[in-house]
Amino acid sequence: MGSKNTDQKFQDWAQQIRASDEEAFSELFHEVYPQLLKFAWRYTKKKSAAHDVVQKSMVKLWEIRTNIDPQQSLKSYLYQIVRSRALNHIRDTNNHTPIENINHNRLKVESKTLSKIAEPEDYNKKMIKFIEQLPGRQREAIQLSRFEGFDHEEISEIMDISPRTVNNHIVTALKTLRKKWDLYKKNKKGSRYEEE
Amino acid sequence: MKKNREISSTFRCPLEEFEEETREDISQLWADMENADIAHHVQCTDTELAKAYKNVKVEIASEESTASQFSFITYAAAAVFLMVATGIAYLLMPVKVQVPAGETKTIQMSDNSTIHLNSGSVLSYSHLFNWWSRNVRLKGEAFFEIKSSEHPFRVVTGNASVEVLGTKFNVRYWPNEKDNMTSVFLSEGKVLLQATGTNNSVTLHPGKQSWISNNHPSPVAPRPVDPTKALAWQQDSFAFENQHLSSIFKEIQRRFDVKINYHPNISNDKITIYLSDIETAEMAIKDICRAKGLIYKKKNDSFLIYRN
Repeated sequence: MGSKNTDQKFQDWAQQIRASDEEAFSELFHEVYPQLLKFAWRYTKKKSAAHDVVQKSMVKLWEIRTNIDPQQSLKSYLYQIVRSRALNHIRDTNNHTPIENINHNRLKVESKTLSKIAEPEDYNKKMIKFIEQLPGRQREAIQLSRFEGFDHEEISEIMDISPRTVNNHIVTALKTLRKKWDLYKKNKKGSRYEEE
Repeated sequence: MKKNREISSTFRCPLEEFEEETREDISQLWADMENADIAHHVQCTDTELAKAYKNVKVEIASEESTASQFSFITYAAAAVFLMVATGIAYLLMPVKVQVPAGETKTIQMSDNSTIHLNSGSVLSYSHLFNWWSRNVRLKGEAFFEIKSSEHPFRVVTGNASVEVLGTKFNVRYWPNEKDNMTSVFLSEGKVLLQATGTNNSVTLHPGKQSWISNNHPSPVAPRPVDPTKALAWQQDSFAFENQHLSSIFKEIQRRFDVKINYHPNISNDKITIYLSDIETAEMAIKDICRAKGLIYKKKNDSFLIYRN
């Protein structure tokens, strides 16, 4: 995320919601809900569950509104709530799957999910698959960075780990992805000469 | 190259962590990831958004109504509890009657008994006085006119208790004075004087006095005493019998709210004297000084007493 304008907007909302301003809450809700739905879906892989997670998170935010820290980023805070609820959802639906193993379970739904995604090009599916195969935390960190546009500071707040660790996760993920990606492209070149 | 630089400007991945020759590859990789968001297809329609917002509003409204109900009940319960607790605390807290130096006080109890308190005395009793007992606690001196009731009336001091039914009597107990003596003089009726925590007791008859002190933990055998002297304070008088000047001066200070300073070499002098109709501290001091050959000087409410 980023621009000073949106930062200021979130800061204002944080102040107003803290003071139980329902209009500000409504504005925030409509602004962030679609993004949060997408974010939650990455964990739940089901739209209805993602809706559920985000809605409960928004209710939660309202409940604890008086404790909102105006110094902290409201957006990160919201993502943090959604993430923790989403992880709980996965844990509850997968019968005590440790968070680190979530990745493994996700692979089962992957082929089904991937087939639904109507991407014109092969390599998107491949890249998606490689990202999905990353260990849980690395995947989370790189998705937050690449697709949600958070900086390391914000990711560290959302995932409740140090910015240093966020960096390590992303670096390691990129190294892994690069290896797989290079190999894939090389093979592809070998099989299809027409491609540059 | 130009393209890469463009990517770099929005690049959040830590390029500097990679060796220089691989940085371009990493930048390219980052760019290639653009369309690799597995959640890319997840869209929130306007209908979904509206429905989601409605759900959240309903949820919040119901949470808040239960929350406020809960808090109302909690507050109500807390309020009732507080009222009851305050009530109990109030009832358990003793009523304290404190008589300033220089004044006496007469109080009427709920059982129609009358208690006359000498200057500087403290009397305390429960708000539940006469509900199932009639106990009062005394520090100082008081004359009691007790009406009969189904409950015995009991005066408790630091080391003794006086138990009566209906009667008139005087109790004197000044802590840290005269060996912590509790002395009781009976005018009418019958009282039982008992040393605290023992079965040592005497029954007093009218006109008799007994006492308990640190050195005499059992009540001494009652002896007849001149009522005018035993109840001198009730008649604005003083009756001292072989008493140290130090304790006499304390009594005068209490009765008239004055300050008496004296030379230490006279504090152990003793005197037996009856002073009647004493209206000011100076009257008492003048008489005592004359009898003992002492000199006094007065300044406002302060006296200085010494031997010439």
